[in-house]
Amino acid sequence: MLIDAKELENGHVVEADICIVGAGAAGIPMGLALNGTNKKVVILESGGLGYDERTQSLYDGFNVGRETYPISHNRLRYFGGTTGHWAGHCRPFDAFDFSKRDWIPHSGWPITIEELEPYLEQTHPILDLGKYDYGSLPEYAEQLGLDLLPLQSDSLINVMKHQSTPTRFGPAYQPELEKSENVTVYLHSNVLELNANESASHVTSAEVAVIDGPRYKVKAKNFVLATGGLENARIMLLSNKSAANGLGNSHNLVGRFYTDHILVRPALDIALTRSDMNFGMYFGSHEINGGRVFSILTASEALTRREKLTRFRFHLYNTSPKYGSAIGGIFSGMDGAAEATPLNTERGNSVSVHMAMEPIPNPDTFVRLSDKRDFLGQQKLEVNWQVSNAEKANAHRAIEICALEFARMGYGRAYAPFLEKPDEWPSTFTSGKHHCGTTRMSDSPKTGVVDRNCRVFDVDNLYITGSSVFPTISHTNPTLNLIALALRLADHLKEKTG
Amino acid sequence: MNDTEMNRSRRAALRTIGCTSLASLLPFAIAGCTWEQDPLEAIAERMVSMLFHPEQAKEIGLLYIAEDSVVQGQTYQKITGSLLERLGLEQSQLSAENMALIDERIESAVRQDFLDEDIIILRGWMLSRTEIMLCALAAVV
Repeated sequence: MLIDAKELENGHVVEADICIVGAGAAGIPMGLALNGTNKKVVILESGGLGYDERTQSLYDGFNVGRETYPISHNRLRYFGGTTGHWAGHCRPFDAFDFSKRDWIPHSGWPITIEELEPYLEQTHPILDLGKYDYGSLPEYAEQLGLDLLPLQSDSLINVMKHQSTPTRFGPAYQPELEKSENVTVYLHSNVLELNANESASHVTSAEVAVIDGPRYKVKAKNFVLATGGLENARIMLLSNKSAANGLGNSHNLVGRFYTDHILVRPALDIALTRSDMNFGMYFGSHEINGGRVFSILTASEALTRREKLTRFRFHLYNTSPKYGSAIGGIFSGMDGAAEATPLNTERGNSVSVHMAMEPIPNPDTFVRLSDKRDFLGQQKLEVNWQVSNAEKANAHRAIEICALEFARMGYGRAYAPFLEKPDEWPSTFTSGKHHCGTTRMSDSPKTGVVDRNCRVFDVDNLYITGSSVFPTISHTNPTLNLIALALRLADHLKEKTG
Repeated sequence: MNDTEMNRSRRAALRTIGCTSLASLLPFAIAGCTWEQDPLEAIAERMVSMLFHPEQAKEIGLLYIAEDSVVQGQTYQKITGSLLERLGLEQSQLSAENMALIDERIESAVRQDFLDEDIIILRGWMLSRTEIMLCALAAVV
């Protein structure tokens, strides 16, 4: 059922078994997973069914660290959330993303890929993806009649990504949730804070405000925050009546370890020295086995461990020639390249390579409450995003490895200004708009905000789902992975509540 | 026939008849130097003939020379000697009849450079050490 909270009376009280805050990439799949159960589920959504400038402005905050996108631009505050403008690229984390990597401080998840695997598979129908298969790239390429780069060393490898349509959760799942008898979505419902008992160990209710409308309360046995990597922390910090530092924040970790993918796009351009390679598998997605797939490049586990790197990936794009007298063409004959097309860049044959890189978890990158308030009276966020010299060196090496690999294969020569000036991030450096890490998962309250079941330490009925619980974020896009965690949490709550 | 086509044609011809004794004479005729006149210059020209666009390679070579104090002031004889060393060749091993050996060695040296990460970054371009030395040679020969 969908209810517009504007119609509620001031002081109204809603009661539920489970209250999910946020109807986006994490909240909607949880609602779907709990649909048809004997649980009374309430989903509180700040926005309506479409974009509204005033509601969106509740996301406004301040970048006080490294300048990046305005923080309200990266997210959407209405039913369906940020799936309203996501790109649809999907790939699960790899098994070793979950492991403690000695060279990466604060790395290591308390769970393994095996615990997430059943839920990863369940994400595919939700995201309109085809068969859950990430290991058959060579077979898929062969079926499609497309080439894969013959990577010659044990450094870079070809891996598959699936491409969602991309599914917009609002229109896609509104009908199912409207029909639900046990899941009710309350639109235009902004959670101001969570009320807890005196010891801040149990959430009793959520205070909800409707813009130009009533204020009401939701009482529930369990609460789930599913409002994204920034707002999850914000609501925790705003909920400070019982705990001065905010709920679940006795170790001052809420909002810390804020992180985002480091993007350099383009990172390098490859002036091709041969034309016998069909890059179709990289340049766009292809329909196969009920979905669409494409290939990217990433570092092998062996390389990652050998060189003590963080994870990174490369997307390849077709690009028009930029270089006039291309160096790539000058050397085309020397690596056994095709004689027929000695200066391919004259024909537009160059490849633009974009990089996304995993950052190193850092407690000194954080989000926190500012002194400025939004029009509902809530403190706005300050986002302090920093990147370190170690990350810069990691990015430089990743780009160098990619350039070397294309040269080793005899496919071209790389142009990357960053290679010449490793001390300066290139002008194409940016962030991935993937807010993560602010309520990280851990086995100890001293090192994390939520436990392996996404429950906030020391609060017996408060859970968090979404990319804010990722302790490390690999190179891949977060959406599929955070949905898997949300589905896992739904199962946990079903089991917990009987 | 434009420069690109001419170079392509020349290389195609070399590839086609690369194993014959005639093949080794072809680039010298183009370059205007014979083994009998000056073997080292003939070797240098053979090396430079591996570059598809000698004029552009020369520009790159000049850039490299301007930025690398070790190469500055080196003669073509010195650079050719260094290149032969990189290729694992002695001048005495070469003759007018077996100059194709240079081509093969250059190809494998370039590949090996990238495997060994023996590279130069010039104006943002990643080049192998052998490649950049060939450009330097093109600039001075």
